[in-house]
Amino acid sequence: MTDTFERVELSPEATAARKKRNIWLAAALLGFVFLVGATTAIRISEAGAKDGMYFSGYMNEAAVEKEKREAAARAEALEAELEAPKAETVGDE
Amino acid sequence: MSQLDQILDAPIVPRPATAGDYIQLLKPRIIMLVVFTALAGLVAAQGVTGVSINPIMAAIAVFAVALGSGAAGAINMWYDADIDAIMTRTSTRPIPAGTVPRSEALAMGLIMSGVSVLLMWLASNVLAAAMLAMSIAYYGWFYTMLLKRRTPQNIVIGGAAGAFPPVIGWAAVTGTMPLDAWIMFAIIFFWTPPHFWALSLVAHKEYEKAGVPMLPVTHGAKATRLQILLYSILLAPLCLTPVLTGLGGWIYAVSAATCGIIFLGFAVKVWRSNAGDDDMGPPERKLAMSMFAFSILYLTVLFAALLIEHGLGLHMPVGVL
Repeated sequence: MTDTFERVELSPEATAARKKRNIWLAAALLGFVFLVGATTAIRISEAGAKDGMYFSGYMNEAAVEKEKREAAARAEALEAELEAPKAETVGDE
Repeated sequence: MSQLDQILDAPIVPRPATAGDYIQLLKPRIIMLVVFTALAGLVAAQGVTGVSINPIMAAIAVFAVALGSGAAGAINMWYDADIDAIMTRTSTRPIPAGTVPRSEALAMGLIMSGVSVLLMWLASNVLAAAMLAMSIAYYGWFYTMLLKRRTPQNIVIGGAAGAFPPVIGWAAVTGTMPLDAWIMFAIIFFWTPPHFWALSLVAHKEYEKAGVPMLPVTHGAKATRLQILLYSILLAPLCLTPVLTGLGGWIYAVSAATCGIIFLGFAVKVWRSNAGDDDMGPPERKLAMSMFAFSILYLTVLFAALLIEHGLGLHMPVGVL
């Protein structure tokens, strides 16, 4: 089966208007791509500054290990601080 | 064949659509107000909480709100094309004028809705994006398709759609929606009925012709004038609550008090007049239109005061509490 299409002849005015609309559409698409690109770039730069895993999915192993060691040290120090008054009280008795 | 069928079935006028026709579909004047209030919410959030947002991200977030508002406007024009064709004020809109096909308006509205929510999400956070999606659905579906043609309370309930932008702006910065954001919401929510009813006192014949149950059409002009007064009595003190929470400082307090008194004055004058009645004369018509015009100025001044105080670092708390 063969489909037949009616050919519509556009007036010069209509062709010019269509061309203008297409240019606007292209500009809108480019604008969208630019905005997505801009937000992505800003998010990556901001995330890189504090959390390497946040946006890229790759983490800086050395930095993570260092963070873990520091957190463990802080926890130990806090525990020791809490234990200290107890020991003093026991000693007094 | 009814007049409406004839209008809808009439062949499309062969004038090619221009970019201006598509921009008109987005309701640019509403976009301006929406952008302004969203920007006020965004700037006030930074001033009050001290949390900051990257300026480019903030600009994209505000742009996303504008896109979302335009998308909802296009969906509204797609759905309301039949009644727009009947009312003189709206008969020159792109769809009833025959320059833009209805299907294109709907497609444009839906695509822009998706793009705006996506951009908001990328530029800020999921809460602001969800609120934007909800506000588009609220205006494009809940108000336009469910409320507008069914209840005289259409613009009271539907007014929430226009009240979301400052909440979205606030959420874009902080990822939260505290009391201050909802106070800004409430101001626009309670401002909407007297604002629209002042206009509808003059244009109610048009709404009646189109079968839209605006309050003056269903309950008469007298009931509408009373409702305008009651909402104005609620609105004026409500506009001063930002002073109590610290959201508004001295500039805001003076602006809100002055404009509130003038607005109440208009409401009392309209209540005592016969604006909207069949025997309404040019002075009453002028009075209703003056109240409508002043209501726009009132809201603009309130949000401009917040913008100036928090944007330019001029916020001086009144220290009431």
